[in-house]
Amino acid sequence: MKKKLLKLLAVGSFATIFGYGIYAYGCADGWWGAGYSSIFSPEITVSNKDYEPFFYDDYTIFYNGYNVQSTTDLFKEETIADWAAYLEKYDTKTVEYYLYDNELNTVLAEVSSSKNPIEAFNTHVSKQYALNSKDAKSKNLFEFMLLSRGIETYSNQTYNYWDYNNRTQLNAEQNVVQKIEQTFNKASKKDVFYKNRLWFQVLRAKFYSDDVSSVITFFNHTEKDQPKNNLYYRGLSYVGGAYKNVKNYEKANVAFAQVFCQCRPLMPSALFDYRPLDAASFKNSLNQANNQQTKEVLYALQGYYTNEFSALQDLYRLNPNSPHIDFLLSRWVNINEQNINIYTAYEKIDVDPKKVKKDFKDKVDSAQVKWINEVANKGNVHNPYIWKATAAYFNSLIGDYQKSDELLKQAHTLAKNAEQKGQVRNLRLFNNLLSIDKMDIKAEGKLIEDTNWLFYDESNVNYYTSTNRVGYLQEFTKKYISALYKKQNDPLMAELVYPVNGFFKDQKQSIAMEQLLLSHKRSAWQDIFVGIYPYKLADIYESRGIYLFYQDKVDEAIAEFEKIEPFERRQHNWSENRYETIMVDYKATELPGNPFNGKIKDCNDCDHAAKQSVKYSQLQFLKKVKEMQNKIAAGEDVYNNALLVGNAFYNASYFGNARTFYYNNIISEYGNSISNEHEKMLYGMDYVRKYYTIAQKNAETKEQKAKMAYMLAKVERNDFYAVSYFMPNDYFYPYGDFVSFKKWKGFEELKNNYSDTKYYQEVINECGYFRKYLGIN
Amino acid sequence: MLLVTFLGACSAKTEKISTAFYFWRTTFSLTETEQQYLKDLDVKKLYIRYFDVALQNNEAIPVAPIVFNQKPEGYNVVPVVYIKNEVFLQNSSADSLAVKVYNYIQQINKSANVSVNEIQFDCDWSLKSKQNYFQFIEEFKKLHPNLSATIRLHQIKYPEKTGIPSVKTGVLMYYNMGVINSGDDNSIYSQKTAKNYINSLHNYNLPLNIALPVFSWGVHIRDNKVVNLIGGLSNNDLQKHPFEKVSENRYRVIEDFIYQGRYLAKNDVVKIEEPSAEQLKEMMKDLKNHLKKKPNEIIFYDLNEKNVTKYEKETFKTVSRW
Repeated sequence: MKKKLLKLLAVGSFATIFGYGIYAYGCADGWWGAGYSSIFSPEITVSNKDYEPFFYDDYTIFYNGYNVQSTTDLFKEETIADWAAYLEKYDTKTVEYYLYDNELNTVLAEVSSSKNPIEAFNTHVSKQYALNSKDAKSKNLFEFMLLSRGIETYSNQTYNYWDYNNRTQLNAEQNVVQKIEQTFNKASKKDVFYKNRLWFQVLRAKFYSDDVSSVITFFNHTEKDQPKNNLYYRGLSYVGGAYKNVKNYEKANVAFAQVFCQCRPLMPSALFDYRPLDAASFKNSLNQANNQQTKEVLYALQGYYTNEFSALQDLYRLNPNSPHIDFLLSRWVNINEQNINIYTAYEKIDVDPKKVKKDFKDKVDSAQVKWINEVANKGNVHNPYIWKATAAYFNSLIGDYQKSDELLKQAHTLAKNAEQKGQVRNLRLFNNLLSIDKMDIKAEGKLIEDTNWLFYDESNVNYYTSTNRVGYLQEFTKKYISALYKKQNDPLMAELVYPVNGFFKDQKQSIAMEQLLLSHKRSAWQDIFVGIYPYKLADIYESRGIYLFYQDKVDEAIAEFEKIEPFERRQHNWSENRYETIMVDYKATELPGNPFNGKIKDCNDCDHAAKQSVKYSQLQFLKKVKEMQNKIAAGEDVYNNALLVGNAFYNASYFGNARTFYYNNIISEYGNSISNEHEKMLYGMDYVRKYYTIAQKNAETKEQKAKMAYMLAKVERNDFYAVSYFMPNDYFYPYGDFVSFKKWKGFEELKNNYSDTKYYQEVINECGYFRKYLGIN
Repeated sequence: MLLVTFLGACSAKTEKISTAFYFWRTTFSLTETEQQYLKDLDVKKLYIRYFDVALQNNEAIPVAPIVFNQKPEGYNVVPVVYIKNEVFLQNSSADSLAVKVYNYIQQINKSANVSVNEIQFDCDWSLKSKQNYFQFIEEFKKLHPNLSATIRLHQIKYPEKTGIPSVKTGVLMYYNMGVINSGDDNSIYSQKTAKNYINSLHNYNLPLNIALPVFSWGVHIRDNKVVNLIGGLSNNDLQKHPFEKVSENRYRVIEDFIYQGRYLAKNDVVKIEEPSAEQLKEMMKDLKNHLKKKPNEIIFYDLNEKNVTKYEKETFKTVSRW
């Protein structure tokens, strides 16, 4: 027997699918899943599971992934049931054993050459599986087992996916094919079932032989005697594959179209095997289809791969009531949406209502919408709901809101279930949004119910599991409304609806938002957005406290921090795949290192790892700073207290070990570089310098003075880095002509005045720059 | 932290770095030209894609495993397994997957008569799959400790969030930088995009080798929308009917026709994305400025006669220096 490498012609084989899937590799980055900018759900509108794999997906060939099952798996149950019904004597478990049990392969190989193989077989298997050698049907089964198992080796390579060695494909030897064909020819016409089974075995053997095209002649000679069951269409798939093999794509497509039309389980593989043709060849294939249904499918399949709109029109002309229209229409909508609805960036109100409406209108082909409207009006279609919904959607896009509204009412009446009603709601909200140019009580009234539903209905909150496409609509709704508020000069509502970085830097705005969040007199409309506003009062107080600290207003900062209360946060638990509510208390969060450290070498990781007897939360930290400031004011141990307060400001800066002090949802500075908005505040050394200078003035011993000279050198260095490198560059890394240190004033002082101190020696030991400055290697 | 690290980058001469290639086809055999290139470029190591792992009916299965028509004799082979992110989005036991993948690699090794030292995983993991992927790596290390992993640019920017796989080395994929688009932006390589990321390289705590793109593809565009990607297509392929050059790297289809089984409609546009030799040099220059340490290897993606012959051998040599 000759081994051949896996060829790509097997019907619906995995290799072909993944060959196609190459396309997905390159796009793995940055591409979103299907429908990221969609508000039109094909699941809901087409509402037919059979067509689900064919919905539009910009990522994989099939909407639900690589979903072509091996035909053996696909038809296993049916095959067992058919045989059990035919044999009558054995239950399905037993039949499954005969047909699919792998261990029987060796048994059958062993007994196949004995004089009375059935009896030999019975000695090998347990009693319950003994076959009746007198029964004609049992004899047929046994013969079939021998034949079909011989072939199983060729046509299936996916029994155990993780077995590399058993995946190479074997071609059937010619004499094996002949043997099966002879058995088929000999079998009695009267035993329709058995003859039919053998017929399929012949096709299969021929398909996996070296002479693939012999499938076609055999099929043409024998098909008229076969019942039109699933086996027939599985056989026809081989015929399509054989035509493909000889590059007769027109005939191949006709065969696949018939399979698609008549055999539901094989629809995905038929669509996958279909090969798009140019206009002339496509016309030829239509002429070769012998009935209208096949023609309809040809249009649908060609439309799937090429121009879905013209295919839609052709198909409608042929038969308005064709069941294949719906999925093509949903593809037309989803493909258009991808182009029309542009996914926009977070944290930016980049929606300008006027411009959006104009863009929508410009991007839609009005002639196409006209035709869609005509069909939706006539309603002589298989699924009037999807036409009404589509027409409504596109009328919204071209700006005919009233017409859309009427169509949506009709769609609502036609809706068969809650999901279809939900889809209408989606589109209604979209339509109403676009119809509004100004936010006022009237606009609120028009939007409130659907907006509330959009953000709070259980099915929309858990939209990961919902088929209704609300993700994009939620974002768009917020941006659109926020943009209107912004235009009307209502920054508070604009922020509440769609928060944008920077709002809280304005103290007045911060207070206005606080009052709104605390208010008991909010309107129901406002409540919708308060509920989904990402910042809590705790975030606001914390942000204020942080801003105040960096102005050295520690008292006021403490007051803000004291207002913080624990709150509930709803979040998605990915490991358990559900939402959960947790309690969050900012006041309890501890700083990772001792924020009063002031060492020669800045090593934040070391500070974080070091054992600490006292841990500080932000508030405890502030209180300690205040305590020390009070002592400075009272003239109590000024040197030490000023040094420690200086260290505190140092550590709470970008350079220090307590960056977490400024981590806050609103301020949003978590990264390795600071945004322009906060760079002065977080790179700034003004208050560090202020307190170090106080300490310096109050230093009594030479050791203390030496230390302050060095600490001020650190401040000088940070200022230099910030001004020369960090602030002018968005991202900075020291390379090239980067200057790592200069003759800091503090270095000079240390060298000139304090070279006899112990601290001086410590600096030499620990600080490479200082050694370099001194010229020591 | 800043204080400690700045000293000591002063070597002036460049030195050669090992050159390697990714082999990404499903059947392993090398053409004469490919062999000649490998010889001339002194390539000792091939990273061979063994198979993908994807989900089918929620079960992780190997996909399109490689078939060795020729044994990769004389090369140090590193099997690469591409695992789709979806595999780690579901909760399955990492240890059993590790065993399956390991055994499958062994089977392939045996069929090709190779023994391997290093194994590489390629997975564009996300925050949601991180935990499962990293656990898979931990489990795999119990079976085979010497692992490397591909690192995508977007994963170096916030390593504290994205995580760093605990492997011996990473390979920074210096390509697939942008979204495949119909405009002028290049999705394979864009210096501008790269600059948004490479500044973060110094923070990345994993020794990195560099993978550079020598592949090309055609972006198939209809009505300014991307409809498909045609792998392997280069400018050279489109110099004839029914393509009409409309601008640098752009070709219009002048009549409906089928190209390699794909339907190209009249007025469709094919945009070729193909990194130039100059760009390869530019990539290395930028990387030199930002990488903490010299990489041990430059790996070109991917080995293919069509890809390699687009460049002078000198280009590969120049680029493989530090």
